[in-house]
Amino acid sequence: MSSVKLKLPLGGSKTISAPDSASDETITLPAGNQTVATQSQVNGLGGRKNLIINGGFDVWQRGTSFTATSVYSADRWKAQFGGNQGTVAQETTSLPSGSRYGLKMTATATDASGWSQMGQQIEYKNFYQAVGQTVTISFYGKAHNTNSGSTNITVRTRTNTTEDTSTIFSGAGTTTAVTLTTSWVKYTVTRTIPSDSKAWSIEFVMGAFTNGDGYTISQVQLELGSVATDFEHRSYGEELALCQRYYQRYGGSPYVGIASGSVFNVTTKSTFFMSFTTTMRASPSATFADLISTDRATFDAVITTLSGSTTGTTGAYFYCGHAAAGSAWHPSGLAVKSTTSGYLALDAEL
Amino acid sequence: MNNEMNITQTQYVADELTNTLIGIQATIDGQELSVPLDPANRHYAEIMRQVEEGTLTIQEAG
Repeated sequence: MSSVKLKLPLGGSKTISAPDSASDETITLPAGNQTVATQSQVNGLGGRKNLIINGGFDVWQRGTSFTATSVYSADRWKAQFGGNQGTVAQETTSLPSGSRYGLKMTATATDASGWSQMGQQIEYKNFYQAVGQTVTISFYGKAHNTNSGSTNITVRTRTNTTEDTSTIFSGAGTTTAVTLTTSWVKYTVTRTIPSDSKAWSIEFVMGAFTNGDGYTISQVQLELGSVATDFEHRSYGEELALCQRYYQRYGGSPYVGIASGSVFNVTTKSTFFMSFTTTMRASPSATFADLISTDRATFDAVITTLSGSTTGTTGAYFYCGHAAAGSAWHPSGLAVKSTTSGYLALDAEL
Repeated sequence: MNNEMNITQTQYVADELTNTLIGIQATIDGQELSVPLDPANRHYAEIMRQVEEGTLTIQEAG
């Protein structure tokens, strides 16, 4: 047996061995100066090579179709259309092999100076090991049509030296043009994350468009090294838990319980204590729809205000306003209103 | 092409028992939000940025 020992840049070595053979044997190594991330370089043990969360667009806690000017769509992905001239939606039918969903950006107007962008900022706690290193962004992309508005996409990355300050859609960036086709193709872009970076984001940008232009992407991955490896599929529960660090949505069906507490010392308010499903990145902002303070026996008081939340990253204390109901300090629960799909949403996004 | 939020109303909220400030009630991009006083919260950070810029004033707790 013949062996070749390779000295690795981070220490240690790798040995490539070939069995004895009477005939010629060929072992093909990657061309050029490409590097593949070692286990010690990837984020965590036993995997986690993809630093993007929800890169397969499996998690959509906020809904599956959006038209707002600037909105979080699929979990962790923020999208904007200049002048509110487009839609962001979950793609379920036309997909690359190995995908269940994609994210579809579609212009709903014609605008020679129009633009759209969608992207994800990565929390510093999740990419500090990659600063100063070469990383590879890979994704599958497909244009809606052959118009330049659909095919001419720019991959942009942005950086900032202040930890987790917002970089998405703001500040100077580095761009790489990518030309999509009307078929699914895997694209790769290589970057070096600046050594002083403490906030970093990836964006996909579309320029001037005509009505109906756009693109769909899936299997977005960011990994150490200069080689794009296969997309890392994580279980849905695992991906959801990763997303819930940034956004959590409770409720969804009539009388689903969300938090426990009591009517306050005045009967037009209730107070509730809540523990979050997952520790959140920061104290979250809260918004709600169609909730009640209820004891399920004598009152269902519709919540009109949810104000003054004392929040941490693991739980919250809410004051909720409603019409007079119950009696002071009477036990109560915060729940979804009858016949509705009300919710409480907690937002700790970057 | 920036990330600035459209903040149309802000008011501090005080704890009803202790009277200490515990949050801000805000309307951001058309959505009513209860915002904690946490600099790591993006809504709070943007409110404070606009306050320092002089383009936003937070009403006192009611």
